[in-house]
Amino acid sequence: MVLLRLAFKNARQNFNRYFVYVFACALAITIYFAFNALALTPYLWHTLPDAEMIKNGLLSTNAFILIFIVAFMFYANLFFVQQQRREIALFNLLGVSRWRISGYFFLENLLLGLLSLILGLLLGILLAKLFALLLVKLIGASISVGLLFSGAAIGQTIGTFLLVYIFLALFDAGLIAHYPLAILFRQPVTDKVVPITFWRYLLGLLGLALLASAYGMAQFYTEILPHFKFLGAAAAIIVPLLILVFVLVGTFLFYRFSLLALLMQLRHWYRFSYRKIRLFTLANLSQRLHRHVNISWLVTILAAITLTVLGSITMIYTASYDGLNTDQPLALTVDRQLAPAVAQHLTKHQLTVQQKQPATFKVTGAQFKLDSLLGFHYGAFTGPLTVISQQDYQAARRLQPNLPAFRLNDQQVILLLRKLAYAGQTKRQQVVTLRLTATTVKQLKVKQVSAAFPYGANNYVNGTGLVVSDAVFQRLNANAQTHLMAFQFAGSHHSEQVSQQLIDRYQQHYHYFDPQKTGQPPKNLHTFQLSKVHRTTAAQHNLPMLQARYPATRWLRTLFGLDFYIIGFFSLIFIMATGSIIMLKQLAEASGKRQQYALLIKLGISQREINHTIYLQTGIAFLLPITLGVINAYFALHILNIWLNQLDLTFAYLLGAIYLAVYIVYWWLTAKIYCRMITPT
Amino acid sequence: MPLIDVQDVHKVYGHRANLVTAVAGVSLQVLQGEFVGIMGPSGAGKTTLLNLMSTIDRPTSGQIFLNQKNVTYMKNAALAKFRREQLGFIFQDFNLLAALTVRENLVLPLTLAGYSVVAINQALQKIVGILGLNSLLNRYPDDISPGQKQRVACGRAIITQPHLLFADEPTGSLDSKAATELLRYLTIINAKAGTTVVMVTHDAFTASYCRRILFIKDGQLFAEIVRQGSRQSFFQQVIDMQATIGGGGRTNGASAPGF
Ligand SMILES: Nc1ncnc2c1ncn2[C@@H]1O[C@H](COP(=O)(O)OP(=O)(O)O)[C@@H](O)[C@H]1O
Ligand SMILES: [Mg+2]
Repeated sequence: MVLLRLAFKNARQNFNRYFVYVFACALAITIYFAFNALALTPYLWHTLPDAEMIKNGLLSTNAFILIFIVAFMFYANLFFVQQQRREIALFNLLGVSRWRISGYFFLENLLLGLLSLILGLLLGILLAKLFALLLVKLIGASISVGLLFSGAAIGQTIGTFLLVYIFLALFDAGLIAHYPLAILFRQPVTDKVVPITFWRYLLGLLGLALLASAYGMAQFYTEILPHFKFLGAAAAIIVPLLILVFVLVGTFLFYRFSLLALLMQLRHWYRFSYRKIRLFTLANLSQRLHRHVNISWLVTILAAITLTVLGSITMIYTASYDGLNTDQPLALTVDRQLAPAVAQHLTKHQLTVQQKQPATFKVTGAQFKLDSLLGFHYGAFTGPLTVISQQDYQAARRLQPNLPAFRLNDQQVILLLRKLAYAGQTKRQQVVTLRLTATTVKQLKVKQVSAAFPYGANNYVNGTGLVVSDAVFQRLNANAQTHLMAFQFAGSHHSEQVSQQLIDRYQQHYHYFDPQKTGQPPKNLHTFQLSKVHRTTAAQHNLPMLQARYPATRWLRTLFGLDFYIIGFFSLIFIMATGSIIMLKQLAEASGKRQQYALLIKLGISQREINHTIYLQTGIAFLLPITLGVINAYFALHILNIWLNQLDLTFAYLLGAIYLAVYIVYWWLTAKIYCRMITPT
Repeated sequence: MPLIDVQDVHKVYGHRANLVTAVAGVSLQVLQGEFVGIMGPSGAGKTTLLNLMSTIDRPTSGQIFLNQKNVTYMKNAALAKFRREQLGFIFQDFNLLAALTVRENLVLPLTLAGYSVVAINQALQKIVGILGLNSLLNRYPDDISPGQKQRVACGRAIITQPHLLFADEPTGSLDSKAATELLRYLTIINAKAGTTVVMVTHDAFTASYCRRILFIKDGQLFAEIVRQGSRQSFFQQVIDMQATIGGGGRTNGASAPGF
């Protein structure tokens, strides 16, 4: 078939141009397939309690990846057709019918698609084990990964992408068949000069103003928030949303107008521009960047989003971990009545308990008022809370060395607040008086507010507690009293499993504190074991009788390991796809610019200077959007940090560095090919 | 002392299988202040010869001296500097940079040579005055007529006050009125500033502005005529010589306007 041969030949000839595209597609398909293979290999995860989470995480990410790949492919193809419209028009004039040309494009497309599919699949099959090992490592599971060969995943991937390619090819063919000849022959817009009008200047200024005010608002978020008090609590949502809109619109205006105006200003600044080939560089740069408005915007926003998501996940992870340290710092805390059975179970499973510590808690009603920094986190407190003696506090310090030391007299208490751990600091130093419902102790002064709970906040009613002197504790006629036994042992897969067994066995055992009336200080609290019938009752205040640390650490580790894994690979696809598009866009114009550079040589510019301006221009086209993306992400994380209060940006930095590294490779490759393309042979 | 001295220069293109000899042993001299034309049929090797003389291309064999300097083996960087400082170029298709304004196109050679802003603006004013480009300075090449474009190209070529001006078919894309205007400018530059002009053309009317014309055919010098009388009679001489050489010489020569 002549058409097939022609299509094949052309695809081979244009391979240079298509190489980047095929490579990016193949890599995306590799990741898609590997995720599929991981999700569809049941033996891998069935020993893990969170198997469903992993499977669903991978599969739903794949849906996103697919959408992104398809968008990328359509964009690239639209671009290819535009690039070749002169050839199309010429063929058409020479008497080849539109449908034949379409058919030829259809075949070419299918060939390229098949090539990338085969490459991607082969790479995927080869690397699937590596993908699995990485995930296993990230979630910290102990699984031995054997050979990964999933027929279902292969079939699924082939089916999906064949369908995509056929759609794509049909889309292209249809596009070509319906292009009016006049449009095909029209001068490509790439050479058009964009004049700077007054309105464009104004919009350019607006873009800069929007970005500047968005950054300012983000940087001084806590300072400006009070000015939006009239919005009420919604201010905390509306202001960040406002900033987001400013950034989205501002970034677009920046690329569309501000850059042009800026470059034009530079050209008019003769002291700067009348040097060597700067005039040429500036003028070319404004044309080039103008062609890249949409893709630059997309790169900036996507880079900002992925970095922000990654950064905030790290924050949430750190915050969750800190939360766990506040809630359940010890391996096991159980009610005294369960302690013998639990100890027996631990011995049976050969778990060595490093330390054991009993403690007594009293529960009483209390009232106090406290203002936080942000004003809306905690105000007045009315309700039951847990009281512990200084003696037990000191004992807990042997298990929790991080608990701060202090001395108390009989009028003073340490107020323990769970909320403090994530809501930030309290408002400066304030004198807080506590009123208790107990008849023997009526009032106490808060010496200090702390989030460091002895035995963990999980054992405190309302996540609120008091440390009082031993004498006060003795005197206090509380509404209820519980006894607790803490077990400390090391975390391991084995201790995780044993802890989980204990949770499963005792999850029905609760202390139940019943207030008389909602909102009133509880008068007669009583404690009893919750029967199966009562489990669903929405008790006002209850505490499980057995709580364990390690199953929660495992869950956190799996969740965040999976998140990093997914975001990492998704970012890789995103960065490859956008990098390829920027590269293709730049190389597409190279052949058209050959004459220009030949002229510069004739005018007496050395090849080195020409290479230099090319590196500069391509460099800016690549690095500007990614840099702006990083800046945007920085400000987004700055705001999030105020809420979450746990900025650990190691991973975000790492991802940012990877973005930059990949783009630098693209830049280098593009500049090198570009230089070769414009150098006369 | 000749300003340009070409000694038995050959230029061969292509690989072993299909070699094309574009210039086959040309020797010629051009003196300071001359206005020399190079004519010949299409494919005779005119452009190649001009490129060799103007250091854009290197000969396969033979030597070229410019201002007594052997440029045949000069390093690329040194050649670039030499071109920047001593030579000016005008091309058939103007070769203006579309992204730059007329002003920027004009000053480009001066910025490349590292002139100060003040010096650049002075030179610009002078050139703009001579070529009447004042109203065009802020326009882009795509928005002006071919004649205007070629005037800009001419301005760009002479703004550095080069010793030597090379022009390859400068009137090839112009209508007769614009062509006449450009040739008048070239004559003025040659006469007033003493700039040596070497111009390739296959148009007899354009060639008649030269003082001396070299005819080449198949890469070799074929004949040489020198203007003695009026331009009218010189034009007739050129036409006759073209007829002698034969082959596609008179594409737009016949439509030349009156004198
Ligand atoms: N870069 C090149 N590669 C191969 N052949 C060339 C090249 N440049 C010119 N030629 C050949 O050299 C001959 C002379 O070309 P040229 O100097 O452009 O002719 P003219 O300008 O007189 O029309 C032609 O046969 C042309 O095909
Ligand atoms: Mg020629």
